[in-house]
Amino acid sequence: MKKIIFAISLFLISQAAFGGQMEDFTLKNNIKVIFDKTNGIGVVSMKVFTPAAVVLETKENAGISLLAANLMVKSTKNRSSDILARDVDNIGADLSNLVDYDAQCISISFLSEYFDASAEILADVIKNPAFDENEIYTEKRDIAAVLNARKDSIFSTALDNFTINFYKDAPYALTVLGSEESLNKITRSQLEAWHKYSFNSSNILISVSGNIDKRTLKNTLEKYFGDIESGEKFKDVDFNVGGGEIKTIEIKGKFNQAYIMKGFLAPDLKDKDYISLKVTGAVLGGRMTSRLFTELREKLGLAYEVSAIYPSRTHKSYFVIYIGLDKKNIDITLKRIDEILEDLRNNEVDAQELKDTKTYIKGLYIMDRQTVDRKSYYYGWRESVGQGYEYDDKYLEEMDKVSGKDILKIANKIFSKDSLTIIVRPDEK
Amino acid sequence: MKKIKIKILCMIMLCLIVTGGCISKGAKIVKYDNGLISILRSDKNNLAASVAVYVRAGAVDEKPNQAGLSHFLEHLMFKGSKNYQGDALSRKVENMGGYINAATSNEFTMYYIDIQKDGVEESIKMLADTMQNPLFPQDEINRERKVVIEEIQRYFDRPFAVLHESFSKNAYEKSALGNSVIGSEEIIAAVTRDEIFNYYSAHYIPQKMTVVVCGNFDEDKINALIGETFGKFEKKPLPNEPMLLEEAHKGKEFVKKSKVEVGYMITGFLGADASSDDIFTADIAMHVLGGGKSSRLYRVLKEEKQLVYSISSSFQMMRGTGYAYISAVFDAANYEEIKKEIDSQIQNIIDNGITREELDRAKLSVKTGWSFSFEKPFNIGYVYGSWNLMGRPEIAEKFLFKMSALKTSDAQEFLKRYYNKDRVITAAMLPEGK
Repeated sequence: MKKIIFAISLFLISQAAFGGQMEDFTLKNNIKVIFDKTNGIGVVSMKVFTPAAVVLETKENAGISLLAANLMVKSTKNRSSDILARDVDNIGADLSNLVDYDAQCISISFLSEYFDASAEILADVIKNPAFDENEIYTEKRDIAAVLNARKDSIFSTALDNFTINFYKDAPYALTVLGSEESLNKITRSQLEAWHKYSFNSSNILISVSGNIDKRTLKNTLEKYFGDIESGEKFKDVDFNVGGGEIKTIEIKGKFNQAYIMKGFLAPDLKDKDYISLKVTGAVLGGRMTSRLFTELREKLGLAYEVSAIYPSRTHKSYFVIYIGLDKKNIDITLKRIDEILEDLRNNEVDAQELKDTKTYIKGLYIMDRQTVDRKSYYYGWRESVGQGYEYDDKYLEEMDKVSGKDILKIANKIFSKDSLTIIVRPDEK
Repeated sequence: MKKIKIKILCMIMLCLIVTGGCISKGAKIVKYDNGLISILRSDKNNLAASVAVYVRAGAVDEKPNQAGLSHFLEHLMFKGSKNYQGDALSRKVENMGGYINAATSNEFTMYYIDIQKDGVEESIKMLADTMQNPLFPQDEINRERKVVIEEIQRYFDRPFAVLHESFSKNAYEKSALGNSVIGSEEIIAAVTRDEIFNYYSAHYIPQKMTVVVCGNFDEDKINALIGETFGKFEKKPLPNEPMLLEEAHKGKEFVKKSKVEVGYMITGFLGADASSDDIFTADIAMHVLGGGKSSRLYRVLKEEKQLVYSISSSFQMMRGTGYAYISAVFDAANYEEIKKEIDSQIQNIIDNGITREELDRAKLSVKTGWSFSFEKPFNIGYVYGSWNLMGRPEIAEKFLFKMSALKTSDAQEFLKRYYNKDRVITAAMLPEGK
């Protein structure tokens, strides 16, 4: 039974901070469309987002989101894999998918003049994946190869060991690739059910950024996406993340370098401390004048690569400091990292450093949003994870409010308790 | 001071038909008496700007006892200059909300600052002082040695980096293009401040520099400022030019057994140098061969025969002799068959040519990639900067025109001319014990 709802679209037009005109509207079947109108070059990026992603996976079906998404962009019931590839290349478009823990999207980018053809292809991919048995088999094999090849990268080796020990049984424990065991178990009917749940009209939203006329956009999307049926609504899951212990794990590496990854339990993106910790992250790492870089690379010459990451997650995240170094410097480096964190817990970041850090964040934030691909991604992702797309423009205002005291508070909350350290040490011959 | 201004006219046929945007708005190119070139392309639609200095000095300019010196120098240039001591340069850029970085390649080294529009002037001043008055403090050299050695260690932990090194070495037997960019740990550990300074003095001269500014800025103001700074650099004698041309020679295969989990390979052959229009055809030929999901290598080796996990091909343009290459990740058991199949796919194009549809697809893909790259000032600057380094600055605005003129027979001709099974260079890394 198809339900047609005649909704009166409310247009909320706001001037986006980054040049474009932002608005949103809904299609007849209640799919929300976020539209960022750009001027200048005639390029467009269109993404279909869903919050049903890795966060819902279990040990049994880990990797199902990525497997399904990879197969979706491979072939449809109307287009075999070679025809889909040819149709996309014939209009010079780029069809891809991006699977993350808390949201995933299928994306197509193209020149404005191919808007209709691109929308039709994207809708076909979203609505009619083939999930062909042979393709399921080869895709599983290819993902297993990528999983295997991750062991040839020192960063991935460290990170994969970190997350599995940090999250244990939680959905964030594995990479989005899943595991070889879980991949082998996934069946075609599971993939179809997963797709039906992830990409029904109750869960998806469409994010478009580009130089396209609004009326054309609305009519075209209605034409191709307006018949997607509703279905079971996304329901978030609850899971506990351990923490509460101080632990160091050594891994034998096959690399020239050694690697350290030291991480702490960190708040989710809805937490009031989220932005304070983002600013703290920039004080510590990520730029040439951050404390870790200045101290460990510039003053001591211990490393080439040193930084900190704090991913935005809907559930408990991690704050990780990572560094690639010579094995003889492991102990001194661990000691210096602890001293840097201790200093941050005991002394308030002074006004000048805080101001400079914020200016840097702001500059890079804006420059990161210069392309239709990044803009449609950020707006869609913010909306999909429940922050609302408007938050992407508000983020900088919120960040401006963070004080030295906020950083002191969050540093003491995060860096004084449990931590997990992974050390990849070259195998001695 | 006489300046020659070359105003390049917007070519109508290059205009992408879009509402309100023409991709090929001309750039202002100025050549100064001291030999320095500046390229300015302002666009008020951009939120930010990018300022870059391209120095035509890289691994090709190094003698064997200087391997890796260009790259080491690139690091040291950020260690303070007369008016920006210590870390003032990076600190100032970041405190203005900008991003600063640099990169070294075989043929050039580039330094760039991406910044909001109010920071362009200061960026020019900083980069000019950095290029003209670097201090190279001894204690910074000693510290940065360790950092670069760590970078070398990290580099050789990556399978494709190791393969790239051996591919280049075997492809370029006589030409300086075979020199390693990352260089050698021993040389970096021992190089003295005098050696560094002499290398810098010889190559960081105005005749070998191009300043490129793109994005949102005031063209007149910035043009004047470049004239007062970079335009005043002292002209010095040009050092000897390295040998960049490589004659065709017998192929080589290098297979390394290593602690990897899957197989990795780079295989390819020498092509044309940047002065030849064959480089445009090379792009198309390699696109049809392995440039996307509808390409021949992808369809046959990945989808039909399932010999590889991933495969792609492209053409690496150089000022000197460039090369066409194919990279793949695969199961080691298929290695021999992959090589055979790649050869037969190339042979197939040589014997039967490509279709009209394949040509149109390749052209459209190039045009689309080009349009998307024009969203960011940095990328626009890179297009202008690199074509200028290739000695063909006019191509930055004629590229699409050149591409659109290609015929189906051109790709076939290119492969006929440059491909020969006995001249193929292959570098592969396979898991031990397989």
